[in-house]
Amino acid sequence: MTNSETLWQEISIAALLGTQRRPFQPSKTTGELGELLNAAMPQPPASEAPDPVPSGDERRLLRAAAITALHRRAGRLPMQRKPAYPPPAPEEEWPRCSLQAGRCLEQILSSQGAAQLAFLAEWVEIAAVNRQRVREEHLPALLEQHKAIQSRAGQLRRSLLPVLGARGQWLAARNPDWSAFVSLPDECAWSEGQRKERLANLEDVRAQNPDHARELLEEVWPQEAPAERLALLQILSDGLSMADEPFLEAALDDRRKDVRQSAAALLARLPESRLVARMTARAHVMLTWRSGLLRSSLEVTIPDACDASMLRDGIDPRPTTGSRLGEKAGWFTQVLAFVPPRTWTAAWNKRPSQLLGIIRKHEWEKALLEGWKEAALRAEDAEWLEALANYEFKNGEQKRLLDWFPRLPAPVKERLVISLLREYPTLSYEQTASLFLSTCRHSWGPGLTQSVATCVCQTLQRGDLTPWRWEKLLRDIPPYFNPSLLETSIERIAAALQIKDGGDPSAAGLLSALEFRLGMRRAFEE
Amino acid sequence: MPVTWTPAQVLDLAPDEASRKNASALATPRKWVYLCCHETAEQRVLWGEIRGSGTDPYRCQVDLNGPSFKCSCPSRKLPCKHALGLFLLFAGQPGAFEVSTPPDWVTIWLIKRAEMDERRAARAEGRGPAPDPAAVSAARARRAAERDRKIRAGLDDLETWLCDLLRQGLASAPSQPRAYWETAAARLVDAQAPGLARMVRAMPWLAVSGAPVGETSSSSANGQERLLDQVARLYLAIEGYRRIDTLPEPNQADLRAVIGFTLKQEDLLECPGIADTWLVLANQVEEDTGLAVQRTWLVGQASGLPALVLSFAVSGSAPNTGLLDSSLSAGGALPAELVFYPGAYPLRAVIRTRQPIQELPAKLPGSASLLTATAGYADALAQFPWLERYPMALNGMRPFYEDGAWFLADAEDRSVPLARNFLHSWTLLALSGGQPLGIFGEWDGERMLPLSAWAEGRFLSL
Repeated sequence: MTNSETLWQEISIAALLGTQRRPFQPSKTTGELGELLNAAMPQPPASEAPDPVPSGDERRLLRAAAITALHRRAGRLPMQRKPAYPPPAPEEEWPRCSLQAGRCLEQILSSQGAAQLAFLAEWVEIAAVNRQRVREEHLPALLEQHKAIQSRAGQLRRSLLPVLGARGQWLAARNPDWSAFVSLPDECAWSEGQRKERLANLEDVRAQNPDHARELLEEVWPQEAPAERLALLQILSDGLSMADEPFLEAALDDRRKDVRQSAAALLARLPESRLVARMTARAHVMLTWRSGLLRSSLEVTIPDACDASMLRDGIDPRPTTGSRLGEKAGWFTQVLAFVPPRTWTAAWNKRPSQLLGIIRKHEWEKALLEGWKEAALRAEDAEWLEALANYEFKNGEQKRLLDWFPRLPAPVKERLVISLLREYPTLSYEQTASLFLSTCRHSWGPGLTQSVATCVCQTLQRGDLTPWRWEKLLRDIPPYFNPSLLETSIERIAAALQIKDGGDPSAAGLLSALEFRLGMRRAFEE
Repeated sequence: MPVTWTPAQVLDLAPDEASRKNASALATPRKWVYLCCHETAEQRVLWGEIRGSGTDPYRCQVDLNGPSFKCSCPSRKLPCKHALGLFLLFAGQPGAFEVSTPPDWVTIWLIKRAEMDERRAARAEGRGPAPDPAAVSAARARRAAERDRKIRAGLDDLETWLCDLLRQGLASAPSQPRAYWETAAARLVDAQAPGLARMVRAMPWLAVSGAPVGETSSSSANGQERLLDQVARLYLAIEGYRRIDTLPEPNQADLRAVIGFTLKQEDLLECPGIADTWLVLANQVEEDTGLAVQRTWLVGQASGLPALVLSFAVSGSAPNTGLLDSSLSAGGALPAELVFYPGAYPLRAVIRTRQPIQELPAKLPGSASLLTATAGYADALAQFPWLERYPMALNGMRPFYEDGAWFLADAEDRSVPLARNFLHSWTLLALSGGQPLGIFGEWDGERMLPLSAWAEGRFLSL
């Protein structure tokens, strides 16, 4: 400690305690500072003075502080030490995005609400297509969105990695919160990483080389904690193929029920799997087609007990989930859900709509519907799904349809919504069409985009009361308009908005959101 | 000049429609505490008191020889609604006024007005005493002496207060109520030392801000140190001002600036300036009690001189760009002539003449050694000991993170900590990519607050 430092400590303590507790006299100090202090100290008060205020102690302290503080401040040197500098970031492959595109990203990151993530996904997608990366100055704010980004089922995270560029991944590696954005080419993240990093790593490997990912998983499978197995297993959902079948078949013997069910659900998506074959055999026993001259019928026979092989295949003997079906009907539904619905249309040479036509009022109607629905969803069988959706709709089961409508493939959803909008061309939450529309959270095809734009325009042109929750609906939909129709949609809505007396803030908001998207796309073309 | 005024004529004097309406509402005797008038051949004056939102009633007066108006209410409108109402009432119901001799507050005002009229008339006729330079400078000297007396009394007061503070000890300072600091600051404002008042007002913040949430007691000691530093600065100003006549001219100017004397920009613009291409390296907009201040840091490309240009606006009136003077946005080079405020270490400047802003040059000035940079600070401090924010341009700096804190290091492995309130450390790291980069910021003697950075040929405001 230097001499002036000691003196400063002394002064600080004296000032902190106060001179009424302890009188102050600076200790003798050498050097120029000492000389200066000596010269500056006020003389002790003359003895006849009647205890002057301010008294000598405080004045001495003030002067010593004024001089020493300055002395110390002027003399402070930067620390000398060798810290652990971060290694230099690797070379970039993609160029920085344009200044304008960067501003768009900045605006997205500083905005809030449900649409934010959709806009962000679009920005990332366009950047990836144009092979441009995020500007350095926006990286921290973008990486700070890590929780929201990871909540989007891994797709956004994966498409983001190249867009972050070498610099973004380098930066992410410096902050433990951002570790999910570090794509490690080697496998140390897999063998040594934290839970988040391991999952992210397996996801990346799966996306590039599905077989390799499964092999990695198989290697560690026996040692993994049961809780980890479920999360790891679900990663196989991407890039699922028959090559995964033996591993999944083996997983049916896992100790944990949710792992077994998860494996079974994956196998259900593989029509050639042994599990599906076994289920199909069971289903054929339970369900038979009786052709009649006037009327054909379906006959359902259900065994009295759930045998051991059924249990092993994941049939829950006491199903509780959702349906209000009986126990036996529950087994039946579960078995049916594993059988690709094509099986039935092929076996009986009937169209899905024909089959559905004869189960109306059938004793087992609900069980059949549930089973086929689940099976069609797993097989992504568009024909069946469309027939099932129409069936529910025709029979006034809109609420039930809404439950599983979000799981339908996009084209099926769009066709249904378009036909609804054609019938009632109004956008409001009272309208069934809007309810279904609000579950279409994907980039719409041109057909749906045009229908929605037409509805918005017609509502504006009618000019009467704004429909119920109109503003919420219009706030939600801008991210989904088809990119190729942005310009024409903007023109049409702007024209309709001009006609409406007194304007419409919700439509104006929709318009500016669409304009933002258009501007964002153009910013990348510069 | 009409001898009698009609209400319509009076209402024509209103500055706006609202005053007209409000004044009409006040033109009734019920609203007034009392109403008086006095009319002689030379003097025709009305006065009265009216209850307003303040504790004391407002004193309101109208000189009918003019007419001219005065009122103790805080309204800036002239005439205010009270004066207008008083006049309107007189025009409508002169009988409501009691004839009386004017009290002192009315007489004094009338005399002052008469003097002013005389002087104005004299000047108009070109014969008056007003242009007498001796008289003018005598008046100025009288005013200066009066202010000097006030300041010296204020400084004695401040010294007593500081001594009290030290007698009780700084440990008790953070728990003092707001009024404790506010009263001391207000006394300094009354003593016409607003600069020192500002320093006192900052004291409670220093005592607290030294100890951010979640840090240990060592930083609360840091808060006390900052407080003691501020006490030392104030005391330096007290002692300095007491012997200001013995100091060299530039130090006198500095001291006056610290105390809170202001200079007229027009006067300053008369002085010769320094022509250079000034690199605009940083902008900040700060809000201070209803006023928005834009601080723009410039560095002369040829001279290497730093300069600070301030622009002011009423809070909330700033345009959406966030800058008050967007022609001075950071990241440009401004060929201009700057006039510096006088001082031993001149920093603050005004722009005298300017040309269109250009692009920044590829190479920006900056010291590559923190030792050299801090030595520059020490030199500046020796010239101007009250220096709070020293402009520092650095090149070849590497940001790094260690034990929860951020630092900058130079090639010699010397390092300085970044300011605790700096929010963009990760951005700085992102820009660096592990490579050295250039930084401009404010050095407070202990920590660096980066305001802009340059790397890979790009300049960025932080």
